[in-house]
Amino acid sequence: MKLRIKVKHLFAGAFLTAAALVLFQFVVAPKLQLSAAVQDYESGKAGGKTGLLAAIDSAASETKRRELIRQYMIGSGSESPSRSFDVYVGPGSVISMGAPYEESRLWSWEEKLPYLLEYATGGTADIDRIGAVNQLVRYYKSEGRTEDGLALLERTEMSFGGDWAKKLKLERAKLVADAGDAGEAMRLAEELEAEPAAIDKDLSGKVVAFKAQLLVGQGKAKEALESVDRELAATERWMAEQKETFPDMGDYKTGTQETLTALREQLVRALEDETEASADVSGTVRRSDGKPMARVGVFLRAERDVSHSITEGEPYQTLTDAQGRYEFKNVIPGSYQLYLGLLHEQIDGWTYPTMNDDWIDVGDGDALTEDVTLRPLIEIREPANDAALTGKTMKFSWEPVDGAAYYTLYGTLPVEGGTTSTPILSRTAGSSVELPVHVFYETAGGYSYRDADGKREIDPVGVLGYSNPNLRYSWYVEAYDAGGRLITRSNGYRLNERTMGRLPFFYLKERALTDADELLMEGRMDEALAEYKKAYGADPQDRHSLHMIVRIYGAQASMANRLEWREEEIPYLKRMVELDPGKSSALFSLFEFYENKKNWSDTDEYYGMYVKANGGKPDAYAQSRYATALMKQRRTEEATMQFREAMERDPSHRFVGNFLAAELYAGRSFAEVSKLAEAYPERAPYETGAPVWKRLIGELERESAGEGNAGGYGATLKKAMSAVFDDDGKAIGEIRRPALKAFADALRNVN
Amino acid sequence: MDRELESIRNKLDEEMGELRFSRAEDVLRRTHPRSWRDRLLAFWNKELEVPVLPVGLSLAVILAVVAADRLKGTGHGQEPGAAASERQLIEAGGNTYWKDDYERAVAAIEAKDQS
Repeated sequence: MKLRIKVKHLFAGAFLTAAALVLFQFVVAPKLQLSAAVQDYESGKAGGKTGLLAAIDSAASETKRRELIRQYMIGSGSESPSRSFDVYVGPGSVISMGAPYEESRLWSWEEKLPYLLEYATGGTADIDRIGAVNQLVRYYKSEGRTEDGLALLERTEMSFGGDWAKKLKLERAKLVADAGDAGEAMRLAEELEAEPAAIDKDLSGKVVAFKAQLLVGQGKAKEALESVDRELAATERWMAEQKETFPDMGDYKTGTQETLTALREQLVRALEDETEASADVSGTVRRSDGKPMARVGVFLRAERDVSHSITEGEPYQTLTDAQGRYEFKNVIPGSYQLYLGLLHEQIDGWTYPTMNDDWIDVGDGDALTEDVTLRPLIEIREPANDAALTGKTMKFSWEPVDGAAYYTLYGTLPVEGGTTSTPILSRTAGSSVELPVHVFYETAGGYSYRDADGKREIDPVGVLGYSNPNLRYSWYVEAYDAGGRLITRSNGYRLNERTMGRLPFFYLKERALTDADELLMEGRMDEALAEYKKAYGADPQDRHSLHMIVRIYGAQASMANRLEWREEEIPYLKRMVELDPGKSSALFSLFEFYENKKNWSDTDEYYGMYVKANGGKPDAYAQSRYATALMKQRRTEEATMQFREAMERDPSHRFVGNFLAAELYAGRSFAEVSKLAEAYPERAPYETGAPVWKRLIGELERESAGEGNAGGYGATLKKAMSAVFDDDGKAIGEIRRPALKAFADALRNVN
Repeated sequence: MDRELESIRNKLDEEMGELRFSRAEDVLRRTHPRSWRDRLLAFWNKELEVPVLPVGLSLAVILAVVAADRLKGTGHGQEPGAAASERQLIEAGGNTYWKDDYERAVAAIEAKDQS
């Protein structure tokens, strides 16, 4: 088949094809590339950022270019450090933003700086320009270039009007305050207050919060509290009006309301402590190899805030500079915890060795230095990589840590919906240890629960615990210095081949499941118990069956919370102690049992044995429980001595209420007891309404002074304490004096 | 016969007496182009006979090669990317790993155990 075609038609065809190609190359392809770049960036693909940068640079028009910068650079980078990191680490908490991105979508400063500058200094006066300016100001601040930041803010203020200019002015005031010129900052804050925002209701709240900090710095905490109260009342009025206009509007609190409420609480406490000046907290974030950590997020978080994730409204957040330094000025006195914000590459292979109850107590006019040192994770040696252990002993070993006085070893077992970890060995000195397998088998973890047909029941996997040859266990180790401070740990972020190291998993196949174990795993707990008892009856040296009997009774007691289960458990616990006189978990259970029963002589005996088993170092919780037992027996002098020791070692001071009660019962003055309450504040950030003991003691003192009969009040107080010690609900109910009643009620919740 | 031809010719002469062929030059230019312009025009209007099958086939082959090349190019960019977009962190044994790294490591251990 042939086709006849004229040359001119052939030419025309070729020309049209070429035109189409050109159109594709210069119009369609860039659009496709752009959308692909945006998609790659948004899904966090490798090279996504580079692609998007190229797309911005080759944008078809200035408008498009600005749109891209606005949408993907200013929009994604938050003005607040609280949204700029992959991982937030604080005392006892690691919050991963959990983004499934290989290459973080967060722009590095090197990448975004030129674009932010371009956007911030040119063209339209839109809200994103303010975003760009604020991000730049944060950068200038971390570079120590306050002047540049101020100049940029002032310049931008002039091209804006209204509320937006005021927002910028507030940022300027904050920057001035951070630079140390509190007077100028106050002048700006007062100007802002004099001309309230027209539309942005949040802004006036933010101004009030900022000014309150400055006022505390001037020793005017009372004035600060009044202005916060005024603002809160005004906001509530405004919300009520809004609700009338829009009845469908639900009840909610704005972010600024939350911030002000938290601030209010801090101010009330500061006033109780007769605060006269604010404080400075500064420090350096470094790695232990000396490398300063530049542009790490640092958050000084008030006690009230640490139970939730970091919000933009929290007042003390900043970035470290190139030397890793940070500084917070005008900090209202109170209790704080230091959190870090880190990118994956900053934490990979390293850990911030902070402990659950690391608190920073900021006092009047303090200038505190809080340095942070990140440490490399401990490399484990063995067991690892799913090794199957079959010997009668298990060897754990890891790379030694410089300066470590002792290590604590933890085992982890998989249970339904997660894992649970238990200390296997506390305070071991060397970097390797050989344990008889039964130590691991008899590590008594907590009980876990599972849902079976909508009913909650004990998970048998947790009961069998570390004696299960089919489970894939893992372990980790923590290193402590002589003072009991955590140096580093083996568990953390391991995100590349170099940091991954050996996998801390192993199987323990020294024993096989018995018939009783099989019954237990099938959930037939009672039958299993009978089998274990039978096996133990046949062989009194059968440690496993004995351990499982105790475990099953313990599980049922914890589920039903009934003492009679414990009664049945006791003889077995005692036999366990006979077999292994140093078994501190069994001794503690016995002590606890007799303490609950108020069998004081057995309580004393088992506590003594427990202390001995622990090398003379009871854990602070056990010691506080023992001190409480002494208090209930009216052995108050002994009790206060034990309490005092325990307080020093338990930074949460969870039993301080009992300590104070014992001191009062022993006849100590309110002034002395109040000092103790101040020295050992109870830290329970995750509980709502944890008592402020100092306040309660202060109220007792006022109540007593009001009656003018110190002796009479002292007798009433002693009677009330007696009622609490005997847990006499009726007598407590009959307490008429409000401060005393409040104190007694608070004491009943100490545990 | 001659008379008949004669009469036809006369009739034709009569009917076409008014017509004069005046574009002999044009025709000559087309049949025997002399100037560049004439040659170009002639080329422009030249008819080509294209064998559909071979030419079509070769075009198809070229297109296929170009397309394959293009697709290969984008494919290269996407392959690791596609894996990355599903990359997730997992917590295992107290550590946080990239899921794919971790699964690879576990697979390597299993392979070693079996050998």
